[in-house]
Amino acid sequence: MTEYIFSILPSLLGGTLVTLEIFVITIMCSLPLGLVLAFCRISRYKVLSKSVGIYIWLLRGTPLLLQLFFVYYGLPYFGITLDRMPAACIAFVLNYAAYFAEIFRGGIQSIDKGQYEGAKVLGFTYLQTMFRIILPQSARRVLAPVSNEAITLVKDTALVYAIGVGELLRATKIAVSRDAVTTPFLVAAAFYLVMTFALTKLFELLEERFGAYE
Amino acid sequence: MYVIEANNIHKRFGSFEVLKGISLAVREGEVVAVIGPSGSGKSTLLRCLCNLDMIDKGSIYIENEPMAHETGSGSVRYAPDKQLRKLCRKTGMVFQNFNLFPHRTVLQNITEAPIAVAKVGRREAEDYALYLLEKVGLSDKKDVYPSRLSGGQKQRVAIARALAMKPRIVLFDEPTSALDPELTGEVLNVIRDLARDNMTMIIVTHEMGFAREVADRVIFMDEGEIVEEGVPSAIFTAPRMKRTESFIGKVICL
Ligand SMILES: Nc1ncnc2c1ncn2[C@@H]1O[C@H](COP(=O)(O)OP(=O)(O)O)[C@@H](O)[C@H]1O
Ligand SMILES: [Mg+2]
Repeated sequence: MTEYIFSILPSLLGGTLVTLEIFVITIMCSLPLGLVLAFCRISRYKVLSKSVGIYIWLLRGTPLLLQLFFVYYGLPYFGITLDRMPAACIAFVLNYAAYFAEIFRGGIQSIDKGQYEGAKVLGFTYLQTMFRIILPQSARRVLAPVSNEAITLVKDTALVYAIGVGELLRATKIAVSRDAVTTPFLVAAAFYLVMTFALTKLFELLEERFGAYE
Repeated sequence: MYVIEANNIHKRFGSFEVLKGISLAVREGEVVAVIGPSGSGKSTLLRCLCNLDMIDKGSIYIENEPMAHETGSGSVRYAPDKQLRKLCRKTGMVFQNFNLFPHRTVLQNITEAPIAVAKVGRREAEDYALYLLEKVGLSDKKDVYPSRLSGGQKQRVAIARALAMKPRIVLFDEPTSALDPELTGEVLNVIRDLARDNMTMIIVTHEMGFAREVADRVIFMDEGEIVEEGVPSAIFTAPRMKRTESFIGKVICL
């Protein structure tokens, strides 16, 4: 048994690496993109705010799997052909940015308007007010929902299996088919649990740090 | 020269006119108390003077420089953004609800604007902040977060924060109204000290005894207008207008 587990570990670890790669790329790109979208969403320029509103509605209102298929199988009809991995990352970044945008918008708008006024009478510009006063306080409030999304993302990465990216679930399925045993499923489950557990702990630490002032 | 001069300012929210032509000029070192019933436009007046609200008619000058002035066609033109921020830095504002930055320590609350806005060096900003904290009696609280302070302490920090930008005039909007009665004294004492140091101030307050004691001039506002103004002894003991008399009668009885 242990021997068998050791024998499939290299391929499962290889798959895990791809899973982590998708996770890291998605987080690194969708967080800043989400912040930019949130700013657009609350902007006074109606056209900008409305277009971003439609974008968010589309990406939150349709299945991620459909978006993944669209980027990989659909875009070639428009003359854009992407490899599996870039296609997967683009779909994930666009989708998660929409969710983060809504979380950030909520976080920014939850800050009392007295904070803006306090900053304004001291002479802060809008950008200074945002980056020095509003966002640091919003950060504390969005940590919990962002943490939820990050954990969901770890599991959502399994969807890229559908376009043939060799991540953890695909590596697992190959082992199961080949060896006609279910052990690889359990090992994969353990891998996912370790990743989500580590994330949960990381966010707990962050919440402690950002919440020091309460 | 007036530190701040407002001429015939009007302000409306929708169709509701909150300020109906207010004129007010404050000299250097003068302490003006503004009193009046709730909803009479006192807060709106202060908010217009520090550019938190925009006026619809009239003009506002800070040390003779136009913050907003009326054009020939009767509309109001505000100074360009940068100039506006420069002028507004000359006015400090102290809010009823303090509006301290909760994610910054007491010291950081005070040094944030001098460092980020006035581009003062950190050391210099901190030295001045410590001096101000001593003035308001909170040196020992410099490293705590606002959530650990009482209301009176918060307001004293807010005053220090406003002073850190070295304003030419400080506007107070009911600085003690959100405080428990036993905490108002410590805040009023700080303002009293400022008056003694010849700080120019406009103070909206319901503390009639305090207004009478520190103000050089008292303005009574009602329904968006200045009904009456004068030295405290005249306003409080011999008001000329019926509305003033009845307002003062009411608050003194309370
Ligand atoms: N942002 C706003 N929008 C609409 N009405 C407002 C706004 N701010 C103040 N008002 C109204 O203006 C009037 C004067 O308010 P305010 O200046 O706060 O009075 P005071 O400070 O003397 O109590 C009130 O009737 C209030 O409801
Ligand atoms: Mg008020």
